[in-house]
Amino acid sequence: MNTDKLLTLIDLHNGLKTAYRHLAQRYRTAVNDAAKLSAEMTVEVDDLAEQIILKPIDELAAMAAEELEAAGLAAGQIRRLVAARRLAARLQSETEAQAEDLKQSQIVVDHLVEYARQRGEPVNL
Amino acid sequence: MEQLNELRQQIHELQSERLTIIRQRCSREQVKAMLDSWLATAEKQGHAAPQLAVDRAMAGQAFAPLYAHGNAAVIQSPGAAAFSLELGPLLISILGKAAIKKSLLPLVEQLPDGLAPEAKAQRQAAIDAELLRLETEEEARIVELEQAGDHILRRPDARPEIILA
Repeated sequence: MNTDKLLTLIDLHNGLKTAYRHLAQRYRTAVNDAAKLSAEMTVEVDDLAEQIILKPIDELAAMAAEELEAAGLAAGQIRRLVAARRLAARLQSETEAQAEDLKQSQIVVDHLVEYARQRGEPVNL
Repeated sequence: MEQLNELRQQIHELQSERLTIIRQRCSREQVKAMLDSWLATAEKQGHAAPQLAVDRAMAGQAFAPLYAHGNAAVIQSPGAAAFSLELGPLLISILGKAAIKKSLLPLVEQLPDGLAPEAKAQRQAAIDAELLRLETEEEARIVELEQAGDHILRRPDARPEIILA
């Protein structure tokens, strides 16, 4: 049995775990930022403006500056909100994809560690 | 990467074939042999029952040559009593083995044919050998790609003995 390779693969898996933790943290921050921005923008606005702010990203991004101004919203603010939500959405899909990779890697590592254990070479993860 | 994906595709196909073979029903010949065996047993039982009825009649008991005996498995729910009765011996004693076989044999012919046991074992052994070759090649390819700086995930069902060989 190639113990060096096993240890290398465990290291790679641990690296994947760390990268996932960082990505998940970035995702949480992005979600909080987008929510904070929405909350700030909905303070002191009328119902129409609030409905606009709560629209899905693509609809919001497609709105004309005049429409926004008519509802008392600044186009610049809306652009920032769209960017924040898009970042959160992108990080969400990246986090989900990486979670799947991590799950797959965990299965492989578990099999390898069990295989080593059965051959009397226990490995600490 | 393309080469690795091709290897994985071949592995997947062979694994599926292996699973199909393992789950595969008996061959038509095996089912025919089962049918013949059942017919032979039922024929013996079919001759014994009327003979017994005749013997009983000779002993002065009621004559009931085609009386069917069965078992009821009573389930503990009101009004439900599962009941099963094997009519094969009775029908064979009346219609004859050939007639019953003639009506059942076409059903066997309609079955998709499976591999005979020896052919099945041979195909399984060939698949196992090919899988070992492909999975070893896959691991070698992954190592090459990793050395070139790529990060490749191994399949969740990759065999540890091949990865750590």
